[in-house]
Amino acid sequence: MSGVRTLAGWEFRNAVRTRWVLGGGIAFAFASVGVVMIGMHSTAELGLTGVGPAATSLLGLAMLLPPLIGLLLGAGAIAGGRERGTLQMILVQPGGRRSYVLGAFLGLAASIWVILAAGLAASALLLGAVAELNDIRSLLAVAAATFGAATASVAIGMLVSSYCATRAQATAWCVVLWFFFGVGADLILVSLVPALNIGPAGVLATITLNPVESARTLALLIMDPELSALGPFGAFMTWEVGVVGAIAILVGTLLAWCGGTLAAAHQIVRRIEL
Amino acid sequence: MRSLESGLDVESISKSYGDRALLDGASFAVAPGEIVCLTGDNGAGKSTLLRCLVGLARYEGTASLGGKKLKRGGRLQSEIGYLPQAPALVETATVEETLLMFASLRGVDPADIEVGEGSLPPLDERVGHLSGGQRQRIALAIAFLGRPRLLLLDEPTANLDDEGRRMATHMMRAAAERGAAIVVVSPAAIDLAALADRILMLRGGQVVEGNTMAELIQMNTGNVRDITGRREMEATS
Repeated sequence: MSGVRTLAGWEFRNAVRTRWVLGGGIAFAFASVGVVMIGMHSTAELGLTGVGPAATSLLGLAMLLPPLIGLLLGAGAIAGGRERGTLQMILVQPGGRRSYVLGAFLGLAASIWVILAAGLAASALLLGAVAELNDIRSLLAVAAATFGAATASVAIGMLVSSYCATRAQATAWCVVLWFFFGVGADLILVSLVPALNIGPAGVLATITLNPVESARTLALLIMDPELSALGPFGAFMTWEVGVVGAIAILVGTLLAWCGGTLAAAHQIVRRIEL
Repeated sequence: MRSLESGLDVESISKSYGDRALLDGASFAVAPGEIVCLTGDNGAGKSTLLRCLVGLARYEGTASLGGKKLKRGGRLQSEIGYLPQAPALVETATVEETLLMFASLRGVDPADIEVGEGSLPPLDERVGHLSGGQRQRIALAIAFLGRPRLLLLDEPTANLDDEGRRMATHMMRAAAERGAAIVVVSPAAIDLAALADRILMLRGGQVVEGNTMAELIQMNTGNVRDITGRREMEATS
């Protein structure tokens, strides 16, 4: 376990040294503050109170930028080390390849958590001025979904990275995946649901196949426990499994995405010859 | 090939890339405290053999250390020190951060990092700012971390200046004296003639005994293939 801790610290410091954390933190902080300011302005113009619209806008951003940063961070990990030759120095050390995969994941996850904390903290400062007590739930929902989607994205990026020979290949595939998870999957779902008549259970199954959509649904579930925003699907969820059950399914989905992709990455890394 | 208890014992290792068999039943043994120089033509498979032994490449055959089978990522990994042919280090890290990270992975107290005084570049220097020789010194220090029982060193003196070569030689001798089995890969055995106890040559995917050190030094040539060829001619005539 000490090997995992050492490698996690090493990956985290590498991410900091290469300006990923600084650059990502600044970019996400600026973007989230901008989105929140626009949301707050709209709320004020409509004569509404609370953080609802601003939090929803922030959720939209959080389901786009952090998954991209997470995927790109993961993409550089294994393929980058293999390309530069640094991987062979690490893989011959005691602890084995499982420690390497787990340590690298934890280090990269920690670095993206710092990025997200910077952006969300900046937004929270702004929203704090207009927030009411019951708005805390919305802010926590956005934070939980953001951290969940970003962490799963790091794991997926690492899986792609373990499969690709070069960092450029891994980055390209991750950008494709980001578009698919962020936009493409929704478009497919919207076009297929009426045609295939998959029903609410099918929609739930389809959502679990997309970590970003799982995180977004999780946030909406926490923000609005009655799931009115999700329409018939929300009614199905609350009827079949209840709010707590639905949260458990979605959290479990995100954990499964992390665990499953890391296990797959480990299987590939085990077979890597250097 | 003789089998040496408690040292490195390699039995019939084969390794192919596609249709090309690079190693074809290579066998050899290295006793504890022995320094063996493995030489051969460029592309003969010397570095591949080391990569197989250290677990970076899969192979057929068996290798054991101290009677225990070497497995990829197994417990014996902490007993092996490895210097790759072209050691690559994270350029943005400092010398100190790099050494501490590898020391931590091997469970070694940073105070026990074995290098002579002044042998390493300044600890706060970034690896990316160092010369090839300075990086080689760091990679050597990493390979020797934790006093491993088996050292697999691929061209350890590459890029090193005279002082660096002396340092590397001293480190190898000291490791051998405390019982480490050492395999040093070099394309030119004469480079390590004064250091190695034995020369092995990789030819046609198999390991064969090469010339003795005395023969090499006496003939005073760096081209081992010429020497071996001459010896074969003498034997057949």
